[in-house]
Order: sequence, then C-alpha cells, then structure tokens
Amino acid sequence: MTDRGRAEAAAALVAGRGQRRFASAELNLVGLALVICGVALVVSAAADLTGGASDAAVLLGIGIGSAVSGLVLRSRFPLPERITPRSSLRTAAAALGAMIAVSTVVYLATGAIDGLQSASIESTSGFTTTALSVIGDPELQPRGVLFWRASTQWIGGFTALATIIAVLPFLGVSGPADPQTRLPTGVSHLTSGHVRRLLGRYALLYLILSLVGALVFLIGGMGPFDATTYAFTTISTGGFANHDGSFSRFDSELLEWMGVLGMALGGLSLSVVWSALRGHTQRVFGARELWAYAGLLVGSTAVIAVVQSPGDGLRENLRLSAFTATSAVSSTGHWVTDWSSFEPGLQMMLVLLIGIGAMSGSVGGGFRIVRAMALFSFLWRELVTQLQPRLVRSVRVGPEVVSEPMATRILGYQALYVGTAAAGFLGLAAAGTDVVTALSGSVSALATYGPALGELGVGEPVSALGGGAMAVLGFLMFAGRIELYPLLDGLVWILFAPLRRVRRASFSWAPSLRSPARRRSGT
Amino acid sequence: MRRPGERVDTRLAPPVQRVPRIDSVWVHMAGLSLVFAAAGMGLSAVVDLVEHGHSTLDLLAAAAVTAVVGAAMRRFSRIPAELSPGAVFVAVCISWVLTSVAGALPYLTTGLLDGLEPALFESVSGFTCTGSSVFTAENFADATPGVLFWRQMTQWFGGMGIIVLAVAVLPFLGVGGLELIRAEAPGPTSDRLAPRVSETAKRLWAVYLVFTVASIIALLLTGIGWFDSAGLALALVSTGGFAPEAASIGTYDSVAVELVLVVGMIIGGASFTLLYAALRGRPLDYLRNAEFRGYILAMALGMGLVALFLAGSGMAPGESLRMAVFNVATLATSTGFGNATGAGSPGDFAEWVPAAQVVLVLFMWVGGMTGSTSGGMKVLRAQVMARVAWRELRRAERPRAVLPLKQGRDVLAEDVVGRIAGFVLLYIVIVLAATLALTLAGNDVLTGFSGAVSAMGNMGPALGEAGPASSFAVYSAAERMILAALMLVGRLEVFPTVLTVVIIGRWIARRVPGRA
Repeated sequence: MTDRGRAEAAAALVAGRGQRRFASAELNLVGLALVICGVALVVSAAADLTGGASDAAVLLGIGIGSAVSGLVLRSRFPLPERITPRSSLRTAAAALGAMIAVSTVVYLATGAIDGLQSASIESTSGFTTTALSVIGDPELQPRGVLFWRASTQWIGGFTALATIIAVLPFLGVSGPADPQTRLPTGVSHLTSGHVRRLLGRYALLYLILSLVGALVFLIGGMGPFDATTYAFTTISTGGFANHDGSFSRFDSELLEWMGVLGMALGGLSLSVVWSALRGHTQRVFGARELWAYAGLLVGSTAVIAVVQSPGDGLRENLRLSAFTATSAVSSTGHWVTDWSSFEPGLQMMLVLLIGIGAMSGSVGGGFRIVRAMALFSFLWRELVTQLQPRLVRSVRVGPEVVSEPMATRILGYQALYVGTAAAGFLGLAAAGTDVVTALSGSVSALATYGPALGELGVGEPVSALGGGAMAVLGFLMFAGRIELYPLLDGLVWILFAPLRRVRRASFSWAPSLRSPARRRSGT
Repeated sequence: MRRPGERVDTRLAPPVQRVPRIDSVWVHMAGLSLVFAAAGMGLSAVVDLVEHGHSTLDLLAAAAVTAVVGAAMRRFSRIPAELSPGAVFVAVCISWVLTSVAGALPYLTTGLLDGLEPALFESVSGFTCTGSSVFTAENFADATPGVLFWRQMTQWFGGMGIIVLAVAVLPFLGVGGLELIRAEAPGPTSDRLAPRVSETAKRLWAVYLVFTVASIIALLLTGIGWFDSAGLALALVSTGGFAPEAASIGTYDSVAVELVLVVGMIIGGASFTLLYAALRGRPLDYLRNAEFRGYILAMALGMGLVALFLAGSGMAPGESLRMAVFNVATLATSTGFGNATGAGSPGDFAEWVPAAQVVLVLFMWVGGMTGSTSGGMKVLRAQVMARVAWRELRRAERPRAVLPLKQGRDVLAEDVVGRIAGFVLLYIVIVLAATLALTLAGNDVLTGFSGAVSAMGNMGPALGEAGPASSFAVYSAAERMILAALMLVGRLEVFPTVLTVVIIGRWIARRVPGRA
C-alpha cells in the first residue's frame, strides 16, 4: 500500500471512530423518556399561559433542554440487536429515574417546592402514580406546575404498563392473565415488532381513555384545565389533585361518580378494554380476573356502606363508599372522605385491598388480583394434597392452567413483595413513624396508592414525616411501580459491587485460577 | 389338648375381647391426653397440700372427672392398623381441644375465674404454650398455689405434646415442608407412624425431663424459692411464658434470673433433636445446623438493633441492652415472659419506640426453630422463603437458569419448597383474616394486628393495649375465642387444624339429608 493509501485509510478510521455509535438500550430509552418529558413540559408551559404565565419560560426552557438532550442520546446510542435481561431491567429503572430527575429540576427551578429531597419525593410520587404529596395546598401553585404534576402521573402510568409489557414477560413473571402479553421467556422482546405493536395499541387506548375522561369531567362541570388534569391523574390511577380536598372539593355528586368510573377504568386491564372495543365479549366475560375485580369493588363498597355508613342517606353512603373502595382497589389515592377515621376493621380491610391492588395489565398498582388468585389456587392444592398425597392437580386461574414454573415465579414474587413490605415497615418505623403508620404506609407506598393510616392520613403532606421516612417511601414507590425487579436487581448489583471487586482481585492474584486472556476479556 | 403342668405363653395368645373397642385414633389419643392431664391435676393437688393452699379437694375433683372420662375413652377404643393423614390431623386437633376443655376445670372448680370462656382461654393459652393470660392482679392474689402450679403445668404438658408432634408426627406427614427435618428425629426411621412416634417420644421426653430438672436447679441457684423455680421452669422449657406471679419476671427484677431464662429460652426455642444430640455428647451439632446458625444470628442482630433503638430513645445503654436481650429472646423463642415491673417501665415494650416494636413484631412472625416447642412461622421457613426471594432476583440475570435452593448442604426439592411457600402463605392469610376480624370487632389496628400475630405465633403478649404490662382481659369474650382458635391453628402448624375443619365439614355434609 502506498503512503497515500495508508493516510486515507487512517483518516477513514478516524472519521469512522468519530461517528461510531455505541449501542445501549439504557441510554436510548432514557433518551426517549427525556423526549417525552420535554414534550410534556412544553405542553405544561402552554397550559401555564392560560393562567398567570409565571413559569412558562422556565418550563419551556427545561422542556426544550430535556427534549434536545433526549434526541441527542437517542441518535448517539441506538438500540442494540440483543438486549440482556439485566440490561432491560436497568433500562426500566434508568428511564424512570431520568424522568424523576427532570421533574425534580422542574420543581426546584420553578420554586414550587423547596429542597432537593421534597422535590424528588414529589417527582417520584408523580411518576410512580402514588398520591403522596409534599405540597400542602396545591391551589397556591401556578397552572403550569400543576399541569406538569398531573402529567408526571399520566406518563408514569404508561411507563409502568410498558415495563410490564416489554420488560417483564421476558423474565416470565408477567402473570398468567393476559394472553396477549404472554411471550416466550428468555428472549428479548424490548425491540420486537409484537411488543411495539402492543405498546402502540395500549398507548392509543390510554390516550382515548384519558380523552374520554377529560370530556366526561368537562361535562360533569369541571373547567377545561381541571378536567384535563384530573383525567390524567384518574385514568393513570395516580391520585394527585389540584385542590386541597381532592374530589370532595367539587361538592358534586355527578363528578364523584364520574371519578369512581374513571378510577375503575384505570384499574381495568387494558387488554380487557381492547377486547371489549373489538367486540370479543367471550374474551371479556371469560376473564376471571375481571369478575374478581368487579367482586372486590362491589363487595368492599357494600361492606363500607353497611359497617361505616359514611354519609347521610343511602345515596351519599353509596357514593362515598364506592369512591373509597374504588380508589383503594385501583390504587389511585383520590379521596372524598377521610378513611383513616373509619372503623378499625374497615381501615384494615382497605389496607389489604390496597395491598392486593388492581388487575394485571392495567396501570394500577399493587400485588395484582390475578397473582392473588393464582396463589389461592396454589394454596388449595397444597391443602388437598396434604390429605391425598398422590393427587396431581394444577394451579388454575378460572379455567386457565398456570404452568408450574409460572406458579413458582409467582411464589417468588410474593416472597419479594412481602419481604420488601416488611423492610419498608421496619424502615419507616426506624425513621420515627408509629407502628400503624409504618405498616399501612409501607403497604400503601409499595402498591402506589399513597395515603395510609395514622400520620399518613389523607390530605396530610408527606413532608411532615421527615427526611428518613420520605426516603423509605420513595424507595417503596419506585420499587412497587416497576414490579420490584428492576430496582431490587439494581440494588443488589450495587451492593455487591465491592464484593465482586474483591473477588476479581483475589482471582487476579491467583493466575492458575484464571488465565490472563480471560482476565483481559473481563468475563 | 393341654397337658397338665404345661405353661401357656399368654403373651402370644390373642387378647380376650371383653369390651367392644372402637377403631378410632382420636378417641384413643384424646383419652390418653386426658389421663396425662388428670395426673397433672393430681400433682397440683399435692403441691397445693404441701404449700398449705385451700383448693386441694377442688383440684382432686377436677382430676377425678378428667381421669374417669379419659380412662373410659382409652379403654373403649384402639388405634386402627391403618392411619390416614386426615385421621391423624383430626386426632391431634380434637385431643388438643378436649384437653384444653378439661384443663379449664381446675379454674372453674376452684372458682378462680368466672364463666367457661375465660377459663377455656387460659387453658388453651396454656396447652398451646402461648402464655397470653386473662389473669388480673386480683386473680393472682386469690389464686391458691395448686391452681398456679396447674397453670404452669398446662404449658409443660402442651410442650410435651408439641415436641413429639413437631419432631415425629408432622415431619412424617410432610406438613408445611417439615419433611426437611424428618431424618433428624431420634429413634427408628420406621415407615409406619405409630412405632416411630412411641420410640421417638420416649427419647424426647427423657430430654425434656432432663432439661426441666436442669432449669429448676439453675433457677433455684438464683434464689427465687422452689415454688417459683419449678413453676417458671415448667413454662420455660415449653417456651410457654406463664409465670406464677402477676408481674411475670418483673417481680424479681433480677439480672441473674433473666440470664438463666434467656439461656433456657434460647435452648428451648432451638430444635430438641439438637439438644438430644448434645446430651449424647455431640454439642457441635448445634453449629453444624444451618437453621440454628440463622436463628442465633437473627436473634443477635435483633438484640443489637433493639438495644440501639432503645438507647437512641434515651434509655441508659446498660438498661437498653438488658431489655433488648431479654425481650428479643422471649419473643424470638415465642416464650412471652415479660420483665416489665409495671406499665410504662423500661420492660414494657408496648411503650417502646416504634422501631423497636417493629423488630419485635417481625420476630413474633418468625418465632423459633422447627422441632422445638416454640411457635411462629419458624426460622427454617423464613430462611427458605428468603432464598426463594433471592433466587427470584438471580433469575433476573438468567431467566431460564435452573437454580436449585440449598439449606445448609442439602438441596431442597421443589415440592418441599412449594409446601413451605404454601405454609407461609396460609399463615399470612390467616393472620390477616384474624386481624380483620379483631379490628372489625372494634379493636384498634395495632392491638388487633399484634394480637393476631402474637396468638398465631404462640407468643403471649402483644402490642397496643395488650402489652406485657397488661393482660388479654382487654379483649372481649368473642375476640378471645378468635384468639384461642388462632393459638390452636398456629400451635398445630396450621395445616392440621385447617384440614380438620375441612374433614369435619365434609363429614357433616355427607350426613345432611338429601345429599348422596
């Protein structure tokens, strides 16, 4: 090769290196999250213009900044061909974390919330669709901030659903309910066409439901701004409110019933909604989980109405009971009456309902009804085989058989869920809350409901509990919203990093154990 | 034709059936338990006589009634050759219930407690080694030595039943994954339940007796008198937690007594097979057992945490360490002694900082080791569940990996893991359901929740209004019956009781007219 040819080749290499794009699912999807936040912030800025327009410039600035950095990330880091399971978990956690970071900056820059910790808790609460707020009186906040606050929940709801659809099936833990999201395990679906189609379909549904919600609230008597934001926080089972008294503020029977409907829709599996829209009645009414969901809603409403009778007269009783029960089962957190002053038995019942949570495949949180049903079937089998040890029987949800590996995974998930709740229980108490607050708060935050008993009663700003408790709650919300795995996996990875380093070091001292070639490759 | 002078080996001759006997394991077993109980009442009467009490005759009357009923049941029944698991479960449950009913008699004949319900509660709490009490300070003042001794005795008898159940019977039937410790039982590894149980029981009861005598001597050395020493030892080795004094261990306010009790409780909450091995000259078996290591480690960690929390709340460091060690030991072994000298005193953990209380509640859930007299979910199951959770996280990295679980050096079979998970699940469901029932009955959430956890784990004291310086008289009669039922359910490792209900329900359903 001539000198000239060599120089050309070197130049090409340099140019090539300059343009080389490192594939990274984490950074690519963080970029996507940032773009989404940017768009939402720009819309929030527009919403701010309809009010005092005090923060429009700040919101717009952060929005554009976020969107641009997101676009840069996406262009620099394309999605890789293959995504490892751990990397897809990290992607989910990183995307949620990035959005929380943007939101924290928004609250601090607009001056809506003082202090880094409070701002980040408000953001975490938003993106995890939990209704724990540090803002005492939201009515004092400018419109742009309120709109952004509602948007965080709306985005957060879909992020959670996307995690369930795109990341978890891959691990084989999505639950037995939804045939459409049940995909072969161990294969990456994050970028597959099927998952993209599903996500697109559900995004469309989510949008339609939110629009319908906004329209309904508008007809019910809210202003356009309130209608939009309340639809955001209701359909996403979020629970942030623009007013001090949540739904009770409107003092409108019609609106409260509409709220019940909205929350019930939020806790409904989107696959059921899709089937209903497509006219597949067989599939809709064949879903046992739907019946269980409806049963929980109606049953708990009836129990509250009979035992507590929170209102005057049958109609008010029913309305308040239905609202409280639906809010709990769908893990929303809107409220019209202070259930932490109900009869102790009902308090306990509501905490249990919150813990069980909504349907799988919905944007609601909690352990999920279908998993609970599978566990009960498993339990019954254990009881029966104790009497007839040779009996062969499968775990079922309704007519559907849950495979043995799936049943084991659900048991594992249950162990993780209970363990995390217990850790939260201890953590909250160690941070200084009383025992009842710690117990109910841990369950409620993990199920992304929000308010709880004792010091965490409805309408109480969470900042009153102090920094330690807020940190624990933030952790629980984050873990609960993306089905535990991403966060816990990340946590274990970080905690064991020093240990791994020690191990690696000890291996490198002993050359006989590890060949230099393998050490270089870093395996 | 028998020649004159020839001896007939009567042992080989078939027994002459003078009385018709029914083939029923539950009648036979309950009869046997009642005879034991009657013997205990007789012993209490003797104690009463020696201590110059005035209820000797009342106790003897109760003993006579119990003995007659028990002997009759035993006489007219026999254990069938074939035992189904269901029959064993029913027998165990019914024996426990009937013995508890008989155990209530002394409280009634001496007129100490008014009405059947408090007496029954006290008796169930005794025979399940729980230690929750409806006794008020006046009851303690009125009680004769004989009744107080009987109260301690119920726990000792309960413990006797439990070690056999926990080491020989339930592992044999694979209840809640207990087959893991099946091979550890001292005695023949027979394929049939009955010979195995009787052999194992003899060895375990010998260990139990040695442990009791050793405890009595150790307590005597602390100088608390023979009556209290014997009484406390009976409740100590059975991890029961009744005390013959109104203020429980707070009466003595002595570090020496507490130390002896802590050591005794830790041994009592550990597996009796390990104690058997230790007495046979293999004390290191304790350290080789993975469950024991977890048990000790968790307890040490809990003691440290509670001491820290207490010291952080302003208690003197020495005092907080003493309180932490005693109370964590008493709850981690499900004993339930209290060292509170009065309401609000340092030992009254219902008044501690919430964080320390939460640690105690978590210990109440878990309880002691399998194969011991302690209650709760058991350390072994908690360990396995923690491993299940850990495996679940490791699967995140390799979703299709086959990851076997290990306990110590043993690989756990998946069906055993399933049984353990099923047990834990059932345990949680029952505690939550009971909490719901107790709170719907009007208790506040803390009292209801901790009461349910405490009763299910056979602890004794709870939090809230039913703390160690208070008594279970704060619950209403109906609530106490729920708690007593929970104690039985927890005591018999959950499955047998639940299945007994199922079996009896089916039996009744079969006899409902109009059904095939």
